[in-house]
Amino acid sequence: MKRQKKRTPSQGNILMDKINGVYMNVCGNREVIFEGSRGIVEYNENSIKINTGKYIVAFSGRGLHIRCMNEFSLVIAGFITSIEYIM
Amino acid sequence: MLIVKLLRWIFGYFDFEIKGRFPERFLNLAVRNGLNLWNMKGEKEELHATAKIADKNTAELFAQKTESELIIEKEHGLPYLCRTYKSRLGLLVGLIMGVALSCWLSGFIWNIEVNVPPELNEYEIRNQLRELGFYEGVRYNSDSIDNIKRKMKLNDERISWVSINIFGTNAVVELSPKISVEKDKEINKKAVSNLKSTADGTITKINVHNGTAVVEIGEGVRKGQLLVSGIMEYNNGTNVMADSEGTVYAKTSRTVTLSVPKEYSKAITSDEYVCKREFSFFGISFPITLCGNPVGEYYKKESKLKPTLFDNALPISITEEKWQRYETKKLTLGSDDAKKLLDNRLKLYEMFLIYSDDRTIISKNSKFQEKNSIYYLTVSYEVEENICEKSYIQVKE
Repeated sequence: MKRQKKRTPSQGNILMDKINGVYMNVCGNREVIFEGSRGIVEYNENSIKINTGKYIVAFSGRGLHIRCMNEFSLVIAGFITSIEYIM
Repeated sequence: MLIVKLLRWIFGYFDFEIKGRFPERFLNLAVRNGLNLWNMKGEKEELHATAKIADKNTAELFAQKTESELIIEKEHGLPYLCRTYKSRLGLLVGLIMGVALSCWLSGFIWNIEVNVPPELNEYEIRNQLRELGFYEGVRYNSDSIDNIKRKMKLNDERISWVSINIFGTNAVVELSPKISVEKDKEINKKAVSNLKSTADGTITKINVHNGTAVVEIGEGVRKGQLLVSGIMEYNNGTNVMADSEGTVYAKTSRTVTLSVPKEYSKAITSDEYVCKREFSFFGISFPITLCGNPVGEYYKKESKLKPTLFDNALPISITEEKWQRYETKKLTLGSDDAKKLLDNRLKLYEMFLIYSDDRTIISKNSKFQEKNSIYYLTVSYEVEENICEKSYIQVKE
């Protein structure tokens, strides 16, 4: 049986390859459009941690929530106070 | 966004809560498998979200897999609403009957708007339409409308074109009158004409544009006498026939007698009246007041109240008939009042008949008298006016 190759977020996208598979569009401190997610590690009102494969991106703040999401991307909204890269 | 909300409501959705040590695991599993979630709110060891009703079983399966508990908080949408009213059969029957009734009633005409040109009368047109079977509350089909249009054109010679446009249950009738073309006014380049006198008088002014004047200033003329000839003679002996044009002014005299009877009857309305009301619903009328038509001297005033919704007339109306009582009294007109009345009539006469036709009053002599219970006002005018009238000559080539 042919084993199905696992799809990665950067597959077929040169830009995503160059930026290590993660692309973030930060709109002030209220909204972040995040691409290259491999899963959510932590999700509550004060902290959202997203696994990207190579590192974890942690968003801290107040009233944080995921507005919408799919397999590889999501939109985080709320009052963001810090963005942290956890290696 | 509104359409998305509407679709979600139609297909149904539910709010749920995921309780467990790692609700994030449920979230990851859900999105990886294409489960559409929205309104996600994360708390400590808790996750609130909303999903489609179709994904309910999948969500429960994922909750089981991630060792968390799925608690349904609230259910929304049409499928849940239907389930709530499943046992109430009457509602479904009412809904079906309502839709069926609405479909059936939309095949009727509930409002007729008639756009008539000033040459035609709306009341007459409405009566004609009623006689042909086109009235408020009638069921229509396209064949009958074509028939009505054809019959209206045939019955009324004044109508040249009729159009009946149906907008839902409203009908708009558009009419166009016939334009009569007078044969005399047709342009005829080869016309030959003379100018003749319309009254007896003495010529004061002659102004000829085309033709030969056969009268002179100061000459007396009689009615029908030739004033300007259409045949022009040249010095070399040749004749040319032309369409005469010009003005010939003459001093003429005319007498007008206006009269008014000494005794006359006048209708005086009293405070007594009878009010009849009728309620019309989908073309069927019901009397609201319990009284018949009064007997005696009454005149009727009718008014119709038709409510509208969003500029569309509703098939409901209230017709009010007000029967006002009046008494006929015989009155005698005094001499002064009669003079005043006749003077006013004379002013109107002068305004419409003397001044409107390019006439100038040179002198006026009036005489007021009473004879056989009738007041007379006789006025003799000396007027300067254009007495020309075109008279065509038939020429055979």
